[in-house]
Amino acid sequence: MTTALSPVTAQWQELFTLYLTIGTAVGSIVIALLIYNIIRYRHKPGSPEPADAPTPGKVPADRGTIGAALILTLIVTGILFTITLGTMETVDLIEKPPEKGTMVIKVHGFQWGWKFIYPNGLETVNEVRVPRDEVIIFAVTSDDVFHKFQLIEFKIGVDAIPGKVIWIWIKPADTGEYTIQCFELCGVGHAFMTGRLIVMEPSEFESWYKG
Amino acid sequence: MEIPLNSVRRWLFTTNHKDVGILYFITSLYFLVVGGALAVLMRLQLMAPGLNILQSAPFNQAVTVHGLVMVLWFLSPLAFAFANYFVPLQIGARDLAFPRLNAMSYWFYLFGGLLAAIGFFTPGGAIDTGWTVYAPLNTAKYSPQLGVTLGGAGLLMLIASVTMSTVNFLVTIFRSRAPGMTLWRMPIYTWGILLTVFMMLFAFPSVAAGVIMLAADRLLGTLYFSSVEGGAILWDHLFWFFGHPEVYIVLVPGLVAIAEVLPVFARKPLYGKKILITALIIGSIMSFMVWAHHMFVTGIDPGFRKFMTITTETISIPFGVATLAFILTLVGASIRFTTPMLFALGGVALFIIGGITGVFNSSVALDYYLRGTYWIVAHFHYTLVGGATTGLIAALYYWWPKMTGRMFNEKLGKLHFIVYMIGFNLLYFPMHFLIDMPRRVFTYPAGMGWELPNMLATMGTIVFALSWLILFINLYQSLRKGEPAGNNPWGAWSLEWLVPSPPPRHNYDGQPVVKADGTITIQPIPANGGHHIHETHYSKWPLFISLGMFVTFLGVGLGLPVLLLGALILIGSIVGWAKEKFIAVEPAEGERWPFANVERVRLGVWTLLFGEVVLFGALIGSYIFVRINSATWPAPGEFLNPMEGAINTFILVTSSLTAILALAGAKSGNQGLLRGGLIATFILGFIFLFNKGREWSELFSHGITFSSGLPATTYYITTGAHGMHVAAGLAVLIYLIIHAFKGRITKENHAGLEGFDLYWHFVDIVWLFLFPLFYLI
Repeated sequence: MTTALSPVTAQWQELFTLYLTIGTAVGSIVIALLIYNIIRYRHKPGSPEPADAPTPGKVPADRGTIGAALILTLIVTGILFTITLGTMETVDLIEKPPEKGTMVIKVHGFQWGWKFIYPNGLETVNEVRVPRDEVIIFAVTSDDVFHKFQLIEFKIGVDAIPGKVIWIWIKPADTGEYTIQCFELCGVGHAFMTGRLIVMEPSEFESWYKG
Repeated sequence: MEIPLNSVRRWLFTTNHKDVGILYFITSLYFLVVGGALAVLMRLQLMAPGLNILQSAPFNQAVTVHGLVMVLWFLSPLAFAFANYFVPLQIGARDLAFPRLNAMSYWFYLFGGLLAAIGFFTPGGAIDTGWTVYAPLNTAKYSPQLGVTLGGAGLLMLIASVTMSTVNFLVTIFRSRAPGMTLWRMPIYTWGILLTVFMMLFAFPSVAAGVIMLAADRLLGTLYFSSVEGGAILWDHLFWFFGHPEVYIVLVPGLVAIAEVLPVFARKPLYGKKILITALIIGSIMSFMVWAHHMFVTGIDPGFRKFMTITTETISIPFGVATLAFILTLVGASIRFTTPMLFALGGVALFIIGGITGVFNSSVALDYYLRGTYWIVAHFHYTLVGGATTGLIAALYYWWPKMTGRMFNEKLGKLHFIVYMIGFNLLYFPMHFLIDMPRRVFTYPAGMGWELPNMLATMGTIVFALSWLILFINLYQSLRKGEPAGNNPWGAWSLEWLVPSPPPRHNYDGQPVVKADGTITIQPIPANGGHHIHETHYSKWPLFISLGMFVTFLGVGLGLPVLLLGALILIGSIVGWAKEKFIAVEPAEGERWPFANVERVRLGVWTLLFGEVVLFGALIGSYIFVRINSATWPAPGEFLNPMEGAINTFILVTSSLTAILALAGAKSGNQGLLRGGLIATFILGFIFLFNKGREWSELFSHGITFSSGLPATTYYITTGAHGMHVAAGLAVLIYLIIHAFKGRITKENHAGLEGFDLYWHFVDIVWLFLFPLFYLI
């Protein structure tokens, strides 16, 4: 994997890969089992009916045991348990920004755009500039309807809800331009409710921020 | 009323479960075409970046109506087409418990769909908020157009339809089973429908409460969803408490359809039928404990969220077990690859994929990013189209010969399957790769890497749409020149295959009985068993009541004259219904565990009241929710007079006692006590409403209106909903009083009064919650 943009991004991608690996493995095994049974037990000309085949006008006998049910349940549970642990860990990381001295930028979603308010009162619309390698907290809310503030490349986003403030954080590792987009239907302008996240060298950011 | 079988009137006035089933069948396929056409338009628009086939506003309407129609007006109703037709047959009954109510369910469903879709022809267009109708986008401030109100009205009619069906199916399955047809012996499809209606009973009232509050917000100016104390999160809770069970309400019939078809063509019994049923029961119950996984990133309480994560991951266990039971059914089988079997097997395969991607979404961490992306679209189409719809197509091919008496073309059926599977996967699989693309955008920029998956999905859409065309051609040809099917073309065991195809109107020439060893016989009804049964099979009132409701709701948009006309039709036809002599015979004996001693009407009222508990639970819960979120709230007595409330409480409680006296009078044959008790109950109920009205007008004269803050909003709407229930009770009382004075309520025949008493006590108990909550605390 290439170096991740931000610690949360790395963790998200690792977790997704874990789910994908287990999911693909489980899915392949189960579907293979299905196909194997379909082929192995297909009707062949001349082969006799199974002894317990459904008979018109007779309730079929029970088939299968409780033991089998327990084994089935345990298999499914075991798989789920593994991935649950991974998810709890990542949630903690997403929701606990690492250190003090971080920059908190208020994000206001509105129909249809994003307003950013910096600690010094500076306001920007649809474009937010941040320094590289710093912990940035976005405090997300909405001025009108339900939106979702999403940083596509960073693999993180959160709902923007009127009357509520929800925090997410990033620590961008690379300078560059990244996409912000609304991910909750919010009216006719939804498709164009995009913005840019610009990560700058800390020194360049300083001069921009002060100027 | 007798009507020739080949007339139009038969279909308008029928109450026979098989006719109603066919009406549901045709209508649900009609809505499939509507929803499908919208989907094709959307996919054409998204075929490439920057197209202009469907602009933003019409796209939002298309995406919304597509979702609503497919889930609520196509999928569930198709499942209930089969349920209507086959549940009574499978349990050995002659019809559903309440045939007129069943016909009304259908008409409410149809008119509800028309209300939602009619919005396309109004200025501002149809509802465009997404099928989840999120707050506060759903309020008049952000979506003032009539289409949204009409969509809400359509939803309310659908909810009423579903509630009536729920009552009907529960009472039928518990009261009309043939002797020997124990619960465990019931065919798996009937089992699935039983669980589905249980889920419906508890899920739909929550969204009903939400839609009522939304209607109040839009029409009266209350503040539930425009305030931040209620707003987005309140709607989220109300909607998803319904919305997530709804997923299983749609899914379970598809899964049990697969379970019904697999053993027949595998020529082996279903593996672990009891295990499967137990798993589905657990899944159904758990479906009410996972709703907040739709709200993982709304900033809800982390502890609550952790609980919901665990329940969400756990709910995949019973459904995983179900899938494995399907696969194990094949072991030792001799599989016949008929069209229904191919669709059943295909459904299992697609459901596995959808189930696995669902586990991803149960992870809060992954959900921070996945929510709102096309990944989610891919996931739920694999479950609801791949699993549920494919399963129901298997059921369609399986039961078609029984419903029509004709076989379909096997070759065309197999062609349908191949084109369907190619189209489906080409359409939805690429969406997994659109994990970075937002849902519900009408266009997207080039250069994000989204072009290829979108192009593939659109091509898949065309192929998929074609596959449905093959189905329709096959069905049409089958009707015209299909081979006669005979009673049992598939060699299936269950009861519906013992009678001719299509079955006669009364289903069985005799009484089906399941013997201890599982043998099913149809015993002739003994000649000395008295007279021949003459059930009624037609009534015009279900259609007219539904029409009245439809016109009334239209009047909300078109103005007072239309509204009054609707109310007139509605009241007139309710009176017509009440006066009509309609005979629906309950079997003399049968399996009724555990409700052997609960009479049909009483069980119906009980069922209805369970739903009502959820409705008032949602209304009261919303009150508590906004109150907890409000910084200030008036002290007790500040705007409501506790003394007046106390007096009214006393009056209403007393009316419960007089209602008990009236019933005691009926049971003991004391007509004076009966009549006096009923009249006293009416007077007390009326005084209660009168006092309520005085209280309201006094508040209004002090300038406290619906929009004077959340205390007023919650007070008016919660007690208003209660007042409507009292008013409905009074209307029933008028009917009962007339009957009592005609001497029709007797020692032997007082089921209606008993049902009313239950209802009336319930309404009183609700008030016993409302009084302290609004007046004292």
